[in-house]
Amino acid sequence: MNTERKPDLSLDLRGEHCPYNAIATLETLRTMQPGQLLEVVTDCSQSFHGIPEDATRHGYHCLAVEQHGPLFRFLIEVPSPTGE
Amino acid sequence: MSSLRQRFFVNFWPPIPTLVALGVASAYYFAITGTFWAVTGEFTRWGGHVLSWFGLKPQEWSYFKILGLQGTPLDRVDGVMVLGMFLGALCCALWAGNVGLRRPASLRRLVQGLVGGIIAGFGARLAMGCNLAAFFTGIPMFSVHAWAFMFSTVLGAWIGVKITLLPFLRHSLRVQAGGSAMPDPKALARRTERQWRLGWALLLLAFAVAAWRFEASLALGMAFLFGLAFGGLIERGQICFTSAARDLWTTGRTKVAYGILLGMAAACIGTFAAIRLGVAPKIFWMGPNAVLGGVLFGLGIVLAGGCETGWMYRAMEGQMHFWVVGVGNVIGGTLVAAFWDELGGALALPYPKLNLLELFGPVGGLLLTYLGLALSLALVAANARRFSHARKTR
Repeated sequence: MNTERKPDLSLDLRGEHCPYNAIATLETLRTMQPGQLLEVVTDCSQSFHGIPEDATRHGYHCLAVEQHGPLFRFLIEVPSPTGE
Repeated sequence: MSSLRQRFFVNFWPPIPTLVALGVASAYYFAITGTFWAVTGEFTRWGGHVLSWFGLKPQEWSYFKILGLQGTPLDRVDGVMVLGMFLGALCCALWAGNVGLRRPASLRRLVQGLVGGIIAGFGARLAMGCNLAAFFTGIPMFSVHAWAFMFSTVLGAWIGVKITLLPFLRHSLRVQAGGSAMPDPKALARRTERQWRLGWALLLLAFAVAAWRFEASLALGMAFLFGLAFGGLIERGQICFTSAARDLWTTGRTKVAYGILLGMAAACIGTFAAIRLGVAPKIFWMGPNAVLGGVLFGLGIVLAGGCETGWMYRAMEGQMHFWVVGVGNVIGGTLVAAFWDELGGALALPYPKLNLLELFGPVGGLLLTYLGLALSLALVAANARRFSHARKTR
């Protein structure tokens, strides 16, 4: 697990609340290629539990969940077919 | 110390154990104060107070005769408990360095929050309770109306999801290549320290309020302390009842729903004991009001993004959107009070107050409640399976 890897895309969800956070994250992940890394930034504390649970349930790897004061940052990887 | 602080005061708590703790605490709260953990009734009384500033006489309205509108919030069990919840949630958010003014994404969202808040407040009061009194603490009262409300809320949430995801309520995605800048760690550390100290100062103040309320009565003092604990727990666990109902339809989340059902299972045996010892359970009419109220409530909370407990701790974290949702709740509840003679006369009052412990006897009622909770757990698990296979095509 390497959280220092630079994300391919960053999704800014500041100011949005649920369910838009979760829906937008899954929508963005669906457009990405296997092996790519998505960064999600929210300011809604509730997404702290929600986004990792949703990402995992939908088959993605949530590599990191960080709190920066009132901001939350998630790193989610689209799994590559090899290794599955 | 610093690792303890990170673990308990900064990292959020897992929702399932937090909800079980809330269930146990709510049963003790009932045994000590004689009333259940509930918030919307108090919000509606605030609406009554505001109306009385404008020369109206809400204390003569029949709904406020049911609810009671004596004194100020500080003289009422519900009132000091709600104050305690706000302070408890604010203390916890400060300790975690999680207080910050969060602006809503757009004006449209804010209007959506107000409208959703009004619908949710109206639905909740029509059914005589919100996610608490008609659900989380209503089912452990063995009141049949709470079961009707729970299932109607899930149905209402489905309608809410359909509306919430309409194109005119969506914003375009803000996506950019590469990472985005996070706040400067040093400035963040200073800010976190300030909030940490402020949180403890606030707790001292809260204890002073508690001592003052204990002088008035044991029930008021205890209610305030329980309020602190309830508010603290929902903030620490980020307990979102809205998510439990809504995400059955959006992403298949299960944790909060399991937690709520297990929390109620923990509460039921405690409230059962208190009722056996003579505390009167709070039972309400099993009429169309519970079903209609549940559907409106479910729709409203999804549209608003949070329910009556959800907006409370989020408002304390500085999420401005939820200040507006709270105002909406008060307006919605007050509307029910204003039109109660028509609404209650048609939808609630002619119908019986059904108590499972009387209908099926104490053992039968308790057993049926646990069977119902087990069945609900199984339904949540079965529903989640629809989503787990969503990425077969990888």
